[in-house]
Amino acid sequence: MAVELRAGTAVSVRERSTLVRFLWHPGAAFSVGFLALVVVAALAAPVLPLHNPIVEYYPHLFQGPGSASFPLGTDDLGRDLLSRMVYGARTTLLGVGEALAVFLALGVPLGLVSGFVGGALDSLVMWVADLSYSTPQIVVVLAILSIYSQNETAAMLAVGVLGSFGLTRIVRGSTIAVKNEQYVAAARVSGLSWGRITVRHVLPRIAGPIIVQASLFSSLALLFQTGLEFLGLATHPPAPSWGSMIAEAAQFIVRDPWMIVPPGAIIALTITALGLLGDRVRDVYAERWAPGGVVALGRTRERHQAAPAVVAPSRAAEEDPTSGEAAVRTPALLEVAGLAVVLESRRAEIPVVENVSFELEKRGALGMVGESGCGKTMTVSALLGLLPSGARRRAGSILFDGEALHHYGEKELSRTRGSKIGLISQEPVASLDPNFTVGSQVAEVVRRHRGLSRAEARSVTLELLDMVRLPDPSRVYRRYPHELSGGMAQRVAIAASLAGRPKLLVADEPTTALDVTTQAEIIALLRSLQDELGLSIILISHNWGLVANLCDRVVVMYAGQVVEMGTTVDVFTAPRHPYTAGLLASDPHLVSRADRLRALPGSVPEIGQWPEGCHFAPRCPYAIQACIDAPIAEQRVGAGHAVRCIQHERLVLERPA
Amino acid sequence: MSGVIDAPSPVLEVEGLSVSYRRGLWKAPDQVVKDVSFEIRLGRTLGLVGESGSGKTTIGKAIVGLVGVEGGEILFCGEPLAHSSRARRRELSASIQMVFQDPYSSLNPARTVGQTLAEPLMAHRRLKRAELAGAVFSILTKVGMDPSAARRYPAQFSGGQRQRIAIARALIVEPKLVVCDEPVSALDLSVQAQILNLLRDLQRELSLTYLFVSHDLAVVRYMSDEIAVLKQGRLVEYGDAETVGERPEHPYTQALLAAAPRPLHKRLDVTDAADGAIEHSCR
Amino acid sequence: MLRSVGRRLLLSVPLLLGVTFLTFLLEALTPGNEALAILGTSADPQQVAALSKRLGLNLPFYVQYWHWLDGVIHGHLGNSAVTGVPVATTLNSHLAVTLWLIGGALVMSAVIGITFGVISALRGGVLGRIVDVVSLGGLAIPTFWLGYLLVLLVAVKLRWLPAVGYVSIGSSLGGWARSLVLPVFTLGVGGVALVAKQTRDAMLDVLSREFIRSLRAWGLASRSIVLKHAMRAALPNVVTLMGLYVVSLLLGTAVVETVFALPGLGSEVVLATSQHDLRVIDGASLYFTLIVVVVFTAADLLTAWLNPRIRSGR
Ligand SMILES: Nc1ncnc2c1ncn2[C@@H]1O[C@H](COP(=O)(O)OP(=O)(O)OP(=O)(O)O)[C@@H](O)[C@H]1O
Ligand code: SF4
Ligand SMILES: [Mg+2]
Repeated sequence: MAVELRAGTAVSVRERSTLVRFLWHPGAAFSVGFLALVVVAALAAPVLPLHNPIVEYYPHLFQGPGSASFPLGTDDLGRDLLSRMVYGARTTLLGVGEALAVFLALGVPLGLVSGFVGGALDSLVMWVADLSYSTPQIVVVLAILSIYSQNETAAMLAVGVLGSFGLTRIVRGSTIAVKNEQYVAAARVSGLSWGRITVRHVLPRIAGPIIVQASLFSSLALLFQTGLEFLGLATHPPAPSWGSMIAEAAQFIVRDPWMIVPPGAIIALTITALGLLGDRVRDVYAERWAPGGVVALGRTRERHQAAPAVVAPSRAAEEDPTSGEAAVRTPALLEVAGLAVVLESRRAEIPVVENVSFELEKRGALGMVGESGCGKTMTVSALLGLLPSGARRRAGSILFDGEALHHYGEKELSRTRGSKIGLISQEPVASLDPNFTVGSQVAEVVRRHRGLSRAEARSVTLELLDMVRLPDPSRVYRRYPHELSGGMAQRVAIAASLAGRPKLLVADEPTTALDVTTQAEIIALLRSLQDELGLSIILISHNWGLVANLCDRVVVMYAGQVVEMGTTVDVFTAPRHPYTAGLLASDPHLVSRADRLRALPGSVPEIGQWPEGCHFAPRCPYAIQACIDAPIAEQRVGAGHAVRCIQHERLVLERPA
Repeated sequence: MSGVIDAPSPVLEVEGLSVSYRRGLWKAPDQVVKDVSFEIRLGRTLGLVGESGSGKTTIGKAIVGLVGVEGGEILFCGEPLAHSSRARRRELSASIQMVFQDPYSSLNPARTVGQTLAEPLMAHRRLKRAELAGAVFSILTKVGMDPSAARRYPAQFSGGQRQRIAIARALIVEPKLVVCDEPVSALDLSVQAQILNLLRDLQRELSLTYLFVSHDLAVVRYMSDEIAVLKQGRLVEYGDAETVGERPEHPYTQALLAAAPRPLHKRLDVTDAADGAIEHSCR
Repeated sequence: MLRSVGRRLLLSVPLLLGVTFLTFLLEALTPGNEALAILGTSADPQQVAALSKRLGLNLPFYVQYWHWLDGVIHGHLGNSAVTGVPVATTLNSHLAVTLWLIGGALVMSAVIGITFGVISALRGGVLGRIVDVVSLGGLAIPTFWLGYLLVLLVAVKLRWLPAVGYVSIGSSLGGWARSLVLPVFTLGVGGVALVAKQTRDAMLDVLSREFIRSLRAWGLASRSIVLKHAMRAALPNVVTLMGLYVVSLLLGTAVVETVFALPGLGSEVVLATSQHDLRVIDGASLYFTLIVVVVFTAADLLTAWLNPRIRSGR
């Protein structure tokens, strides 16, 4: 249980209160401060030491800014601009406030009900929302203003009503999303009423989107309102408002350009503040509701700064225990040595792959096993130069068929991909472009690599589709990805990967998303392609069975390192690393119902929390002090069998007969 | 297993169950569970296997009342559930619980583990703060977590720990029947083993009855007394675990068994069987 | 494809009827009636009554609406209460300016906005920051303010372009173009900001999708990946946004037409509003709604064409 406790104590930023985190940001602090200032000034205007906004101080016409009694100057009639702006803020506040109140009062309940109830009611509400979405607000508002002359309240209420359907849509969408969350299903199974579920689970979740929409709507309403004021449709002349101040200033723009600055600036600033506020709320919510604990990333201690914890970085070159046999073996197609990949965050480099070395013969099939987060995908992505943004190859060499891929730039790598090394991924349907027929996608790849005409590319594509045993290739050619089953999509992806006649095919969990019967078919296909085309294969999989079935050698990875490597038979029948042995023992395939699974305690440590010494030590039943003290080197334990454990002997001694 | 003399009474009986989903206002409903019958006796486990979309989850949801029953009956300790009132359903939720597939989305990220665990209790009983805290602490200990976990948020736990918390939430109301919907398929192999062990320990300790849903025949075989195999909404095979798991009669179950290769039988006849399957399914 | 157009039409007819009906409904609540507006407030009550009767203003508003609809079908929108000129004639003569403005702003925001958005999605860093600032500012600066600042700078100080007024395309192509540069730019800045932001978000989202990784893994050139595949996937979002943008542009055209003294629909309807010229407002609501319908239908067609699920109809 010790391990669990430790993992749990990883303190996360989340513990700071949401409000504090929200304000801990220059944009947010500015916008909250500025908006508060505007609101307070507007409310307190009558008690502030200001001139009367409609009194004309006759001799002081067109006074520029800076004087003590008229800090922002005066207008064409000698009225104080500052005071007009502050009183104008009252008009703005009232108008936007009215619109916002209607917007929220209609939008939120309607969206909640529509999302929860669904069915015909939902269709109706969405239809009305569509309708009001495309209603030109200006028409309705002008019709109102032509009747209720210069009645700003009526106009802004109408703006609120028309806008509220946009909110309805958003609230409904979020409600449906939350409704389908498993934790809501769990709450229902726990016997909670819909009312409580709404209050506890739904409202907190949709509060963010609502605030974002409210701030967006407020700025639109503000623009609309000042626009009406500018056009002289909303306010009676002497009364101050931001829009009418601009209209007044515009008449004298050549004579006194300054007059137009203060009202325009305050509108722009207010809208900017509202925009920043919305963005910040959105970001904070996105963080808060992210399911994973990615937050931990930024806080990793920098203890991995020192050179990679490696005993012999040049192992692959001279000290390779297997190099003596090199003469007898077929030359390697791929040699990876000392590969290290790091994730770069603002404060630190976090290792995700450390000192990985392996090689692959021509026509060989290498399996890569290990649990999630152990760095398998990162390792093969590094081979292809396909590391995700933020990740970087920090060290190591990659020799492929005599070419040093680690010296290649993006351009050369892009030429290598597909023509030397192909990749197929875990999500077959998602890995095809949904907007093009599968045939045209594969044909594009064919043309890129073989420089053929369109017609030739088409026939090559049909051959490829036939080669991956898709029935009726010319029909599949015209299909879109969403029209294919997972298994068919994976075959298409394999065809596209082979379009450039690569020598190596990397299959990253190619069957995880597929049903078991389809899994077996895909593996069988890979095996026959290997024979037909003389391909080498790297197969990443969680499934020991599939690996055993296809691969002659296996690499076992744990927390960024290769912990064991050898022939499939050796590794599976006589594992020398406690992790390998533990994984095999926890596979229910191999245990009868009467026995208890020999489960390893704890779980794979998060990146950035790897121990100094043996990465597996916290979960290892054999761990001793020496395991924790220093990094463990790889050791050779048999022909082509290497293991990263100082006590590998004990596994042999203690293995049950 | 076959020679149980004094067979305990069935906790759950499902008779001719069918369930449909509506796909839209104008389209005909789509029947995803068709005439399914089985029963589970006290303290036993029924494993439900099938490929994705075969209707396994839907059966589980019908039992806990998350989807409506279209036809047939579900009896819990003899009480018919198919048309019971909402209020009765709510009461029964103290006896029938569910563990969900995805430990990442089954816990509300904005509520502490303690709040999440207390929720089902508060829905059923009026408890004092201290009693609630006591119940939360003891259930956390029971699923192998440190009680201090109650103050933290789900994001601070690994997948396996979250699944322990989800199990704790299901068990805190002391249910009789637990529907486990793919409780380990989102987990890594080594953690999967821990959770499977935990579920078996808890079953023995609390005499729980499980409906264990999974797409993995090996996991189901390890967990269950009896196995039901589902294909496109229908039961195609149903019997005790040994027979169904080792010597299935139905060709579909045989294909499932053959397609899940076992590690140590290297290059076994599996792929040959699979080659045959390709011919079959591609024509 | 057909289905999505059908859906839009199903929405358009109620929209047109709904908006015009709503206008009539609101007008029916009018305190003073149209006859008063024509004859002036000091008119003899008998005269007013007579005129009201002649114009059919005494009928219930739904009967009036029916008559109006009947007229619309035959091409009559009634006469202006203030000038007596047929409404259709007035509006038609003002339509061109407004259409040029909307079209210009749409093209500008599409071309510049999408370019900005793509660049900032790909480059990030300083360029991304600049686009951020531009889009925040572009949205925050009120159209009329920007318009006057431009007039002051470009027309008054630098004398590069005319400050106000409109030259029709028939009389002088160059003059027409010069008279529209500033108004279109003023109107389009907000659109550029909106489109850039949306394009960037959509591109970033698409670029993180799995299929982009596999296109790279298959060795396609990054030009094709970005310009063909990623753009194609991001575009529907942008098109939808542009549709909504047009709805919000309508007030903008009124403002810009006022700032630059252009004889467009917007300034005409603003004038009618202050004069209580109801028939003009009715007509304008029809025109504006038609513009929206056309734009939305075009946007729907484009999105449908971009989306294989709809296009293939399977
Ligand atoms: N809420 C829903 N609305 C409509 N259809 C649904 C819904 N939930 C499931 N389905 C459909 O019902 C069928 C059976 O689904 P179910 O999830 O029960 O199968 P499963 O065997 O558990 O699948 P998996 O292994 O993928 O979880 C599938 O075709 C699925 O797409
Ligand atoms: S080095 Fe030590 S801790 Fe690591 S696996 Fe070997 S015995 Fe276990
Ligand atoms: Mg399921």
